[in-house]
Amino acid sequence: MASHTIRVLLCKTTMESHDRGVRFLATKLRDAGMEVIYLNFLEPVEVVDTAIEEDVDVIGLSSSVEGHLAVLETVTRQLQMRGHRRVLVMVGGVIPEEDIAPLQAMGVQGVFGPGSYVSDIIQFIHDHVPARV
Amino acid sequence: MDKAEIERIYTGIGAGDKGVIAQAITWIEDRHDGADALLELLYRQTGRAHVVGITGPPGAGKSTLVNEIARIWAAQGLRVGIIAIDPSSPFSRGAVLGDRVRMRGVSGQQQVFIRSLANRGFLGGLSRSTADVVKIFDGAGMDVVIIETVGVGQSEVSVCELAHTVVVVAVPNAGDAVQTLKAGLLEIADVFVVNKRDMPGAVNTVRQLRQMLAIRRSSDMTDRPSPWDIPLVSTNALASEGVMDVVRSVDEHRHYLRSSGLWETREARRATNEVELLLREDVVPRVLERARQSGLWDTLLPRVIARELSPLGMAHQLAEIPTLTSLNAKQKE
Repeated sequence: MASHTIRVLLCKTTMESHDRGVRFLATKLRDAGMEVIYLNFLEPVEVVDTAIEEDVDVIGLSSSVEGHLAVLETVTRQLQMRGHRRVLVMVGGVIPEEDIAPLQAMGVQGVFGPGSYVSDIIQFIHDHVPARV
Repeated sequence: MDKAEIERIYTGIGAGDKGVIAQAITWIEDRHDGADALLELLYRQTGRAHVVGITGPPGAGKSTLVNEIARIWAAQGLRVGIIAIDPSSPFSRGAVLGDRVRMRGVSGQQQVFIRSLANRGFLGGLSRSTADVVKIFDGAGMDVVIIETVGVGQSEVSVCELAHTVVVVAVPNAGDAVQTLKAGLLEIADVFVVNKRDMPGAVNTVRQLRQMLAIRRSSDMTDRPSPWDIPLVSTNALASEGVMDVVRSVDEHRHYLRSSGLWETREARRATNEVELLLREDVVPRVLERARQSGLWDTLLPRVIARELSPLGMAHQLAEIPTLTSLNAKQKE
């Protein structure tokens, strides 16, 4: 009887208008049977507050205009400080190649730059979200 | 299930620990093994919160209004739990839950907890687990629990089975006066809100609803000692206009329920609805499961096919309802 539906928090991390990509991903994750908590834009601390209340399995942040290193640094640090290391953190959008290694060092497990396939993102989530029931 | 883990969750809820409350809600959503035991423990601690339903059509401004209302209550020092429900896909069962977009004003405040739920195919405007999530918030000491329904049409009225106070949010230009005579959504309101009052047509909509309320009042008055005079408030939630009047109306409705004894009536209605729902959703599947596992199903079904036993007779035997079973036995004799 028990079963878990994967819950994903999706939002942009800077206040700008490039939200076509993250909205596209939201509908695709919906079509893949996931529950997407969609927000336009959140400050890093709000990301963590929301992720805790909504008890999401995945945080997906969209960044198209830089600033992602600082944002992800805060998000991952806050998650650790508040004891929520279990959540899978991903970032997508315009992410330069040289940022991938520092992001991974922070604990960002998925980095999906330009040209990424939705099917790969979905597979990545299924592979990395631990079973909960 | 690990007893210590259930105890930890139970204690954490009582202490208002957000991470634990969030986990408890996931337990309920997942039908986790520990959920039933947790609710058994918690149920005795509930019954304090004022449960307020906010319903209305999609795009009426429900989430924006909830944000504004919760902000006022939080500023008054109340603790507020918000359950924001959006529809699941009938095809993929996935969902995009977007109510929080309008709730940034209260999100993150210490005394406010927002949880987005997908209805997971449950009809009527709520989700299957809504009643239990209310209990979690109630048990966590929330003063008010706001349930924001899925955007509804004319007949999704389940929220009135769960809430003490129902706020129906209407928008201008949603039809003529005849619409206001119809049964369903407009009947369940304890407080009416016409949102987007800055839009053209708002004055007309308010007038039509006022007339509807006046007609209802004239036919209602006779047999009630202190009838609740359903308030109609016009708002522009986006601009925070009129929202204080909504809060005042909801608070007055709570006082009215408490002082008139109707609070107990509503509690009885809530309990009745929940037990009836559980009989259908929990007991029936268990009866089926038991019958299939014990082999009773396979024993009786051929007898139904052979016309020795009626379908109703078999159903009653499975549920151990004696009347028809004994009637059948007598007929055989």
